[in-house]
Amino acid sequence: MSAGADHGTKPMMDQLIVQSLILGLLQGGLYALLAVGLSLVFGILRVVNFAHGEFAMLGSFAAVFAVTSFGMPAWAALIAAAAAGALVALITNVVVLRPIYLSRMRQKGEYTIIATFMLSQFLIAATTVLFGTTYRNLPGLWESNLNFFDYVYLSGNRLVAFSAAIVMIGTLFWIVYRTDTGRAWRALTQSPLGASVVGIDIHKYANYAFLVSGAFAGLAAGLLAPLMFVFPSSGVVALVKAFIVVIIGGMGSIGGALAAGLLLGVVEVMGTIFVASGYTDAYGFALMIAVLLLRPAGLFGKMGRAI
Amino acid sequence: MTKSMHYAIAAIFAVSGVAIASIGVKPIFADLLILSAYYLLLAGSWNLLAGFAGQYSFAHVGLAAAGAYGTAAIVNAFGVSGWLAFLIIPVFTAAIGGLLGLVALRVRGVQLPLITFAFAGAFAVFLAAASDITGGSMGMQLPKLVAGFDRSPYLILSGLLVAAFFVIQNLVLDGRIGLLMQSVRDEEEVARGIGVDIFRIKVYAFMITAGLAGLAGAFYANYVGVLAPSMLSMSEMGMVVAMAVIGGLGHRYGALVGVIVIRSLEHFVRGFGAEYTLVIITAVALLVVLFFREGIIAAVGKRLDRSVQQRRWASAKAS
Repeated sequence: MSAGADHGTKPMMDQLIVQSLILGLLQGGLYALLAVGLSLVFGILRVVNFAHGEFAMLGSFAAVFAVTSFGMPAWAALIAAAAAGALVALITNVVVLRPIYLSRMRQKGEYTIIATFMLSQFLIAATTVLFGTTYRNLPGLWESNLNFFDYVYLSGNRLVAFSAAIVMIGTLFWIVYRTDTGRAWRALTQSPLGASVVGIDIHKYANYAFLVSGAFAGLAAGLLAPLMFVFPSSGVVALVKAFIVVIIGGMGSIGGALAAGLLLGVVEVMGTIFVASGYTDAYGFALMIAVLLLRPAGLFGKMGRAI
Repeated sequence: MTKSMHYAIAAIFAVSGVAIASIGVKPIFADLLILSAYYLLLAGSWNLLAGFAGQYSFAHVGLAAAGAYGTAAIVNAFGVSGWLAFLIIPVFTAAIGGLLGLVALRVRGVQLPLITFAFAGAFAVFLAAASDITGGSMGMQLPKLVAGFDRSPYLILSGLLVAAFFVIQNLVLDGRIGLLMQSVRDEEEVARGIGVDIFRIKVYAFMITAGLAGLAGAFYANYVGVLAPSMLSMSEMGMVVAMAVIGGLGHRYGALVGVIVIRSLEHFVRGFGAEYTLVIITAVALLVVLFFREGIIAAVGKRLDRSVQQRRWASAKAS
């Protein structure tokens, strides 16, 4: 009996590894999409945006209402999610952050963190009052379970979400490296003072960065919504994931966010399947501690300015 | 204010705890005051860490939760008296805070809040998931410190704890370590240049404030008696940050003012229901953050200074 079992377990194990690797990569694509916006804004403004998770949360609510109240199709709901995220992000930048980084206070970076953190608490509380704490569901674009090679099982929604995430991150790469907006962003990343001397309007490009960051967060949440639920404090989980990704990948690095997002997804799924289920969130965290101990600046980050 | 006045304020709290307990108040007020003491310990020690040492940690409530769960663990598992936890737990959480500092302080500036935030998030997940140890979301119980429903021992205890907090804060801020902490906050590079071991100062600041957070946690566990992972939800951390910021970060009594403002607000808007309470409190905190960046104490102080100057000017013109 034992010989027969051994004969059977080896290929089973391989199949399980392949399945979990694919599942992890698909999940990781969404983590990357959540985190690139955060990384972009940090690179340009040196602002760690604690309200990023709430951009995502409000985006997913917009998607739910687009479908349930206005009867829009699922793809239009994703556009609504991105638009809502972008709008909230823009308002955040203009109302909350700009007065702070125009001021002359000390420890501006830390103060923007407190301001965005209070904003995120307010948005969660306000959403709870307006929409209640019910867990809502969003229909996906491709509601079917797919089966490859007899042993890889995937939901169509996951595949759609992953493809959209990769396309969006690819678009962001194109913007950053091939357009004038991207050149301005990179200039601001290198030196805000130098960029303003050569005539780059910091506020305009900061607004663009926030628009993109909010749209990505909203879209990521809209893509995640069919796989999870939509509720007011869902942004906190999203934020923790995004933080872990940017810490692992290196603050301000878009490629780093992509690689770290995929890595995080794979590590989480592998840990859940092969170590112990129930501690899914702890594996990414262990990865983060390991990276901090070995490479404090992240896998792809440069040791930043001396401030 | 002079040094002795700062100690007098600590003494006032110790005495008023005894006074209120002997006069006797309605249970609902006693509850309000006792939990306010918990929040004061937390917000005050966070103010010490963020406002004076410049290290913005979001794991502070997590450390208090570690203290509370630690209290429950030693009381339940080893049959230690809850009183002894007030001595053991601060040492335990200070050690955890030190370890956290050793990992998290490898990066500087704005990355620290991110890392501590992720730490706290993971700890909350652990508390909920490790249900065989912590009881999960069902909660973990421990016997009461004082049998019965009389709240006066807790009132006396909260007065003493607040007094102890202010004494420790005075010792830290008036001592060498407080000056070094502020030098790290104001100009890290200059501080390093004149020979301050900034890493060590930051770790010390983490340990001192983690010890205070642990004390708060031990008190919470002994008073409330049931612990649930919701104790370290991010909205709790938001409350603590709001309290410190509303009063004024980096002001000795900033946390005190913030706790008074938020707790009385909480008390008076309670009638609207829990969700509305949270909206009102976070909205007030957000407005203060946006429009009174230095906090209420500094804003009122400036207003007073100006009116004093105007009066002087007016009287000089008249004469």
